[in-house]
Amino acid sequence: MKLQNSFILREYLRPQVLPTTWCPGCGLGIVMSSIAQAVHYRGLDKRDVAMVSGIGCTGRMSGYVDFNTLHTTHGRAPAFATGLKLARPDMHVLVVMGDGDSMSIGGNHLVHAMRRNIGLTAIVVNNAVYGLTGGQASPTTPVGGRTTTSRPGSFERPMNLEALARAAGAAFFARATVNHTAALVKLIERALAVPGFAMVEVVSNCHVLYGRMNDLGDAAQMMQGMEPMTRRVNPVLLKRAAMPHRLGAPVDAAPADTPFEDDPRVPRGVIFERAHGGDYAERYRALVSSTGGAQ
Amino acid sequence: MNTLPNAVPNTAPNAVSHVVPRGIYRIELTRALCKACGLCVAWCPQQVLAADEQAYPVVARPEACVDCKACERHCPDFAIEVVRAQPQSAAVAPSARAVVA
Repeated sequence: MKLQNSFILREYLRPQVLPTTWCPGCGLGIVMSSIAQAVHYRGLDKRDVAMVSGIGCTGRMSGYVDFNTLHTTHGRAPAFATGLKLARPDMHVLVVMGDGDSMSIGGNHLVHAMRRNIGLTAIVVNNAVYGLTGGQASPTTPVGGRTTTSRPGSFERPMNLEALARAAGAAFFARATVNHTAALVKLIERALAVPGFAMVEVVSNCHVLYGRMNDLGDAAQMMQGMEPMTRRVNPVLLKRAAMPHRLGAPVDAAPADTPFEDDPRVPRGVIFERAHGGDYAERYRALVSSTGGAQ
Repeated sequence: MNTLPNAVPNTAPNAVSHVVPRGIYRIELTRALCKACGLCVAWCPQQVLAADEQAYPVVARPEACVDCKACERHCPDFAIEVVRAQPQSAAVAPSARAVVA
């Protein structure tokens, strides 16, 4: 059952600043709707939820949602969110980033947030291009992808966010697309329940800049193209009834090094989940009190 | 609006319960939020929605709506909504009766 759009508008958004500045058909609106629905289905009070965002098209999301919001500098959203989580461990902190924001400008902050395995929920909206600044090649532009800074096609290898999350020490990684909206809601819902660092990569569309330069069609065609591009893994984990007792159980959908070798389709679903090694904010508080510091 | 023009008669004792009632859903479009991206028109499996000359969606065949909410799920701007034109209990009554029988 889907929440009604008028309910999401009324309860979780700031209608006075809508419509959004995003291009017609941009998948970011679907991501925003899915986050609101996931928060609702988890039964969280919106006053206990904070959204931290950086710069870029995705960074604008914190202006539209009616949570506690923080719009920060480019790439530094994980750093601000780390501070917020340490000050308010009771709060559910969502970090919303784009692909350039998270992996290029803020790559280092992201790596160290994952290393600490602090309890943040990171949503990385990956559209393979820098949308706000005019369509430059980003760290996830595929080889051969034409952008305004790679006219003959990008010759750089794209970054594998899944392998990065695995190596850096995140507790949970899932991939979704804006085409599969029901799964997107459930994956964010599941990520919100993870005590450690949980990341959901959302494959989105930039039909205005990336799609036009690569003849991928309009928004609908680009979204429908995500169906043959991806394959579903671990569908059982998305059943709501299976969620509580399966949380924290080790899951691994793919071998560690080359997930795309035998099947060119990108896996979507819960890619891995593992023990989180103790709550970072709690251990930090214990350390502070053991040294006689303020609570 | 509530006359059930295409509602499937479902009074036989062995009537199948999965028949989707037709003609009882209303589609609400909020023009102030709509950006005419065309996603709702592209996703509608019943061609309920059509694009006008400015590419904004119009409800062309409301009686064909099956309440799949594909338009609502894919609307990035919260501008479309499928609502039941009747109270919930009246709308599900025929199939509920079939289940009991």
